[in-house]
Amino acid sequence: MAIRTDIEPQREDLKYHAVKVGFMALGRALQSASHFENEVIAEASAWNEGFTFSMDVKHTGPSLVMQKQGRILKFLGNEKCSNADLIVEIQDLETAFKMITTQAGAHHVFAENKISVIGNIPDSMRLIRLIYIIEGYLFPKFLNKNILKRSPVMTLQKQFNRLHILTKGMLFGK
Amino acid sequence: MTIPRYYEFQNPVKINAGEDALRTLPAELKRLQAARPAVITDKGVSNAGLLDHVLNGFKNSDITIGLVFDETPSDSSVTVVNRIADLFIENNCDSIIAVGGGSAIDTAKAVNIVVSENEKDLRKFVGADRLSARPKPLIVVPTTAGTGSEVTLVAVISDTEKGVKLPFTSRLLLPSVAVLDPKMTISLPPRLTATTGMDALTHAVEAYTCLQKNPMSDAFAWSAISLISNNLEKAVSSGQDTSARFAMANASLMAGVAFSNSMVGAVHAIGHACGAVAHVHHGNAMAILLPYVMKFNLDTIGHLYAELLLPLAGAEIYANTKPTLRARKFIEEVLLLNYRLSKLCAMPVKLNQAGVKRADFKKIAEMAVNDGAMLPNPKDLSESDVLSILNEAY
Repeated sequence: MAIRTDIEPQREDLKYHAVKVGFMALGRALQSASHFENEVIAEASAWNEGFTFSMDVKHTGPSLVMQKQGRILKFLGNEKCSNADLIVEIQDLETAFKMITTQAGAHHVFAENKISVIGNIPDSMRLIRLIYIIEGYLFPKFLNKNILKRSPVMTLQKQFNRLHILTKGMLFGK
Repeated sequence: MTIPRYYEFQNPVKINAGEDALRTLPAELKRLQAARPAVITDKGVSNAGLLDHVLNGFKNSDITIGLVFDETPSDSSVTVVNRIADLFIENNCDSIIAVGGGSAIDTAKAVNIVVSENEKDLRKFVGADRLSARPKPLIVVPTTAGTGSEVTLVAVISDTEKGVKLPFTSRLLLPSVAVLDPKMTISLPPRLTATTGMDALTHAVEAYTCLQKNPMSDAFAWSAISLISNNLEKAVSSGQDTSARFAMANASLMAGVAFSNSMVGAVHAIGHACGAVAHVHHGNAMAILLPYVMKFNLDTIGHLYAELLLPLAGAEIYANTKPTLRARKFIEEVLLLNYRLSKLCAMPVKLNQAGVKRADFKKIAEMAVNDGAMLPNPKDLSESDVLSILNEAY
């Protein structure tokens, strides 16, 4: 094998964009649910106005940044926010990809030491619960079994919520 | 045994264990290129004469103890940590020796953060993996057998201004050396021996059964349970039994290695909240809650509890119990152990005996679901689940 130097790291553009789109979907769904979903409203009520959280993929990965504005959790985009009140860092793009494609739940990623938290632990627990609630709406039960410790009971009201989130919510965040 | 698709394990702490292990302190400090340690301990340790044992370990050496601080309170705070850090710098110390239980050890770890990061405000480092500076050499001499802090990467310090507990976790908090000397735990009173021992048992059980479990931490947890089963009651009933004391010190350390690499679960999450709201002693909260949380988790991880019946109850009971009943038998054995310990030293076995009031339940449940230890618990717990467990344990 020849001697090689200055080997630049390769990029996985497809995975990068898949994670970015996944984060966007999660952000819009969460924003939408914060208008009317009782559990989301209750969890978000613990945060003060302006509370900002960022879920980042370390190094060159995308982010999911959201802020509490009034009663609503507003999706702010995919750019890293270094001064957020809570930063949850996913160790690498591969892990984030597994999360958004329902191959791994937040607790699995935590168990593999592939997630770290900068900020208050109760806030991070609240954020994880919010993600679980939204994932319960976004994915069907057979996929949720892979990523949630407890699949939600889909009452008629929750079925309506799901329809709302997957249509109006995903398109407009309303 | 199922091996996870990925896991991490680290235990770089050198362990010096056995008779006269304290005599190795000067050599260890030399190896770590330190010459002027600060000793951080508490009044209980110095009044019991245990500090003298440590200082005697330096006889005929060329190490000067730069500072002895024996005013660490049982619930250490940011103020105490900052005060010790100032004294550390004023006295040109270059290393730390922590002598005591969880509070003294956690305080020493937090002092190490302040002096190594060269930063006045400890609060800046709250959370996971926030440290970057190379820490000062830290040697830990535990005087209780339960916390396992001598081999863990965690420190918890109270912020008395805000009334909250601040957790710090980082691989950089791991001590350089843990020194287990049998004479250091001999004076531990029976009830404290029992509750700290049950804390160690809980570390081992949760490490073996929670989501971050791995083959390395399993091995440590398994051995810890076996040692606890054979020695805890002896250490409680005959405090001067150095062999039982030493076995418990080893068990506590092994359980510490296990949970430092696989985390704890819902017993700790609810126990932390019981401590914060109703001031229940941590080890006692663990002893009370462990069987009831296991009952809750039974349908999810019963097969793992069934395995643990062997190290806890021994080969005969294990073999004579039907495989389908072993998990329940394990829980029953833990309950029986609690009752036997209660008989020996009046250890509370129900929350009402430990001073918890039903009026505290809602606050405890709210806090518990926001505790980081809930995440690795294999079964999801809502506030109402926690309330059911509290009611059962009351």
